[in-house]
Amino acid sequence: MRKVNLAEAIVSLVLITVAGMFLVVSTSIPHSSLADPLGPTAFPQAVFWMIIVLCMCLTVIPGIWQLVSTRSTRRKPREETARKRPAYRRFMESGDAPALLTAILLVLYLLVWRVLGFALTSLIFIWSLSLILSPKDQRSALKSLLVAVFVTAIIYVAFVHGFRVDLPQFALFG
Amino acid sequence: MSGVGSALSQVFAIASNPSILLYTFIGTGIGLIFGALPGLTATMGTAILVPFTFSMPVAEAFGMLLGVYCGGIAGGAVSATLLNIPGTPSSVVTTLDGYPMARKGQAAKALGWAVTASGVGGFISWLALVLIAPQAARFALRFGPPEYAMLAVMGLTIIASISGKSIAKGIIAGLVGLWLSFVGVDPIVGNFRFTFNQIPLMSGISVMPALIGFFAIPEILSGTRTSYEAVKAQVTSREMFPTLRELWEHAGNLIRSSIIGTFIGIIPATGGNIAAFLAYDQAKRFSKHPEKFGEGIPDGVIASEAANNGVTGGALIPMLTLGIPGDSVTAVLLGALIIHGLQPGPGLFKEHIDVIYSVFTTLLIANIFMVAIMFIGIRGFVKILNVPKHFLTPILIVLCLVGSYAINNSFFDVWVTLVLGLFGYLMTLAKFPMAPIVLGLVLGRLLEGECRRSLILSGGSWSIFVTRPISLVLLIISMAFVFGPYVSRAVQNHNQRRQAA
Repeated sequence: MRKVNLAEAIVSLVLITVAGMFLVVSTSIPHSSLADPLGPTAFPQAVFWMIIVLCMCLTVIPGIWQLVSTRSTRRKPREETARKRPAYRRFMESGDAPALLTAILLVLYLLVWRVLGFALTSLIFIWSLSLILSPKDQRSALKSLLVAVFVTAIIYVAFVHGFRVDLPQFALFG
Repeated sequence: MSGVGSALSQVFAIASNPSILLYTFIGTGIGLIFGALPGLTATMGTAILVPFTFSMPVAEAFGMLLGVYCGGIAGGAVSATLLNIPGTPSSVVTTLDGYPMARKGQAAKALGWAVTASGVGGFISWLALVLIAPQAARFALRFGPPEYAMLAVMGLTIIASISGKSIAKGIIAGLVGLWLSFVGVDPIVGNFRFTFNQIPLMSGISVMPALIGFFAIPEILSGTRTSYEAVKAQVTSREMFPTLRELWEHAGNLIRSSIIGTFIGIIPATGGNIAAFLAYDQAKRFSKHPEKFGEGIPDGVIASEAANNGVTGGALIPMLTLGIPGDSVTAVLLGALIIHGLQPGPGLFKEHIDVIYSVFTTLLIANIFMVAIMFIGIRGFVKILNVPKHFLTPILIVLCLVGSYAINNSFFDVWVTLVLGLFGYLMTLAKFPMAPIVLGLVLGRLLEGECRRSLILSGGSWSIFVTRPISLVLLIISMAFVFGPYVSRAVQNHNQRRQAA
């Protein structure tokens, strides 16, 4: 049976759960009074069921099988490595840390976008993320700030004046 | 003969008018910028420029707008190839082989092929526009709900081609795309479905924010996981310009994909993305080495770009001859025609033949400018690859989110991009392909709406899909796409066993 990794398991469980919820919601959609043989729920329900069944076959059943068959054999080496270095250090040294930090910063960026406005938020975002992602030997707060100011100004002018997009302003001015 | 002579003299007058050439050039340049930036589309570029053309003569106005159209479609290849972020929905398929080519140091070669294919696609669709416009438009009118439904089915059958190593994951991804297409107004009754009383969800999930979410955010986040490796792109003339021998080798793919693009363009309410998916699938089927598709070969880039630019001339056919827009850009162009006091339809060819000549000529000029500007620009475009990743990553994120916001001036779209992007990142970690999601999202509403409409027409009888000739042909082609490879493999195995015996 095929091996299932953690990301596959998470994606499948999310899809099964949300598809299940949508399936329940779809039962409350009123059927049309028109002579519509399929109605508004046939297509969505068919798709939700297919997602659930495929995810079960692709991930959940092989995953359970994998858990049952390899439970005892894979624990020891992990525990040994865990004792050698703290978990946070292992995480920071892994490739996942910059991706997670970028994702967190991305959420924060959008949360304050409407409050501080596009220009100020983008400037801070570009500056801070470029500092976080830059290798230690190339890290320069001033250089990052200059790039942030320059890029934010160009994007702002291009979108607001060139493409006539009404970007969010600083809330105190708006 | 005098008619032909008069037509040619008008065409030459338009082609040699510096003012028309200048506006067409400006339009093409602006279109390329719109195409290359994620979130900005040819439709948006055309819509923004329409008010500027109010006071212009018709030839100048349409030169500029058609320039934006051609440039906007072709420009998407730049970000798709260099950054794996499709600038427009039409260039999703270009990422499949363009980006792997760029990662192998062949960015200039990939862009060179993209430009060449765009030029050939644009030229073949222009030929179709000039030569067979009225006949093609009459054929497109024979497409009713069953034909559209079968066209959507045919589109969905190519999921297997673009799924990479796991077809099951490709099917799940395609189903996720269909799922997203169900959110919003029911296509038949008009009731709201899966909107959870959220007003922004009532208009459904827009393709562009979803596209940016599923392609850009996962790519950017994945990029932060790996240490920076600058890819030295070879930017020599030899790399950029295909040789005559290479052109001959790829001639079949170039012509076939351009014809597919033109044909899809003629059918109203379709677009470059469907054309590119179908052409890519066909290029893979006709190829002697289909296993190399997705690993970075020119055939994939050629199929996508020839098809999506082939749509441009094709989509103008029903717009000019019947007044029915072939895609969203031609819908804006239709409005522009009306603003200039012209009524599209058969009458336009009789009463305003000068306008028709203007459109024909400026479309060809726009395609020539598009090829020239892109070839000149390749050396500059590939320098993007030399920008340090710690600067490029935040800049791309801001550009993508602003692009997502700009489509409808909606902050909700930005959140859609982020949520789908983070989920898309998880999906890429789990090795789910992203292209089938876009395919499902684009075709979902078409499939459900037209299928239900067909069944209403037939009183619930599914035979409507096999009793109409075009629908039946499309169904047979779809079934051949799905079962053909299995049948041919079974026949091969049978022959081998017979020979062994």
